[in-house]
Amino acid sequence: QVHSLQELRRSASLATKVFVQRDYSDGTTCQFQTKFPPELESRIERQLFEETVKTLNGFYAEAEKIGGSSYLEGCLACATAYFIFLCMETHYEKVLKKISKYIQDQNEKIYAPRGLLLTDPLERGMRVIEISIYEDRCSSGSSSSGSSSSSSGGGGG
Amino acid sequence: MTPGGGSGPMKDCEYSQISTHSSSSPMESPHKKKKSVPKRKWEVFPGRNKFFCNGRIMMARQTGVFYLTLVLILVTSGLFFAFDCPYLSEKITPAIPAIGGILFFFVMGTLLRTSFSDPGVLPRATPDEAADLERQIDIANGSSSGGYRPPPRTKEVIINGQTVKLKYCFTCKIFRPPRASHCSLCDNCVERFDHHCPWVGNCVGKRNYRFFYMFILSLSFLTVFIFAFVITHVILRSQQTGFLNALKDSPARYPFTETNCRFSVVCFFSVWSIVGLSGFHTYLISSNQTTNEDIKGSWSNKRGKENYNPYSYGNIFTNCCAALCGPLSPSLIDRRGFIQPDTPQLAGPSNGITMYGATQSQSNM
Repeated sequence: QVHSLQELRRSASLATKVFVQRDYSDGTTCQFQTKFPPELESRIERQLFEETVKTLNGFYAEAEKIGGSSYLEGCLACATAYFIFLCMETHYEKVLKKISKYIQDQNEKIYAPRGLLLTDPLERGMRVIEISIYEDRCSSGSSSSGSSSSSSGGGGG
Repeated sequence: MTPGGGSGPMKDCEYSQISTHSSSSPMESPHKKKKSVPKRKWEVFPGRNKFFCNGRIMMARQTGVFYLTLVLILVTSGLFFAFDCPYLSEKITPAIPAIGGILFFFVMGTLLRTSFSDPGVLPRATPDEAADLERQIDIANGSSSGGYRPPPRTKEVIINGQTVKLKYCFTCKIFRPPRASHCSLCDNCVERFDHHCPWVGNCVGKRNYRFFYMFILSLSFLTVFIFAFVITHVILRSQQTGFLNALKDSPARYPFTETNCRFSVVCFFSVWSIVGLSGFHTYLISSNQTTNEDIKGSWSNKRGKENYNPYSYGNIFTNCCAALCGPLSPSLIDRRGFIQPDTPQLAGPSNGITMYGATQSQSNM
């Protein structure tokens, strides 16, 4: 039985949560571990999960990239004594909006049909990607709908 | 999942209990109708911070010294503009008050930005996260949780070839990211924690370090500027009327002597301490260290020949640019957001559950 996101919230009950932790091997930049959690073994294909995490990592790398445009933004902000932040959105915030949209997209297309739900890391202090696993009240578990059309965006950056 | 223990007096959610009279809820407001005003997250923030303007402004609890800083800057600049500028702008050039004005504006802007913004506070772990971490630690230690506090929990990570220990914070129930530290005054973990500055009334961390640096740098210029021109003023007057007379000049105005002497004293001490501090922070920025790391000597050669700073980009220019012009990360604590009931967990309608959204509200603590 395939669930939509709304149905999930109404009819399913939360079984457990899995946390994908941060990967600090590159320093303090925001990256998440791509290690596949064993609890998801029966719920989702490994490549789909890894692709999601890699895309997210790509987005975060793009947000935190130090280069020409970020310098320009920084210098302009400094020159206006940082008052410009009152009216302008930073590059980081723009990327975060993209990430939020991507996560919603992934949830609707890939995770909800499998009885899973991704939580935006921003809501968890950028510490973890929280994946909620739902058990269907009606049936014992969701069938893995092998929809291979994963239309997730290509690697960001 | 039940909320983790030790995180507050919240009871387990009972769906039938919509009563507004529970005395165990720490979020109980004196209003009779609970569903009228949903609370914002800053109102239930667990750290020792003060919030103003409905969550837009965030400071540490002790703000007395901050007001002192404000008063010192305002009074010194005010006196300068009132008493020295008219004379100097006539005698030398009106560019002096103009430049002074720009510097003053910059100093105030950066000071307020440093003091009022979120330094990079890490929100505390949700009960689910904390429970998950505990489980993993227990598995790693191979022991069941006893009555005593287990040994300090650390994780080791290799960053750019250097081994870094991540410590577990018992208050926030998280493993601190590298360079984060727990501020005991504010009771928060702060990312890239530099130090807690009572003069600005806030911690200095990842999100406000560049404002802090710009503040002390511009303040150095301002104090040197004021000091130099006050001296110039006295010298010019003394050339006109003789030095001793210059000190006793204009009885009709506010005592010239006293004003200029006091201000010179304040300026003199400020100049040296502020300029010194700016110099120190310039060194820190160019080597990409925090005050915390420098004081502890985390990356100094004295600890061992193999010890080096893994966060440094290698050259001074890149380090400076990264610290000052790098991207500004957003606040993670969402001060002005409303507390939401945790919809996936509660099957029923959400009326009146605002105050009892146990898991979700705790997730933002």
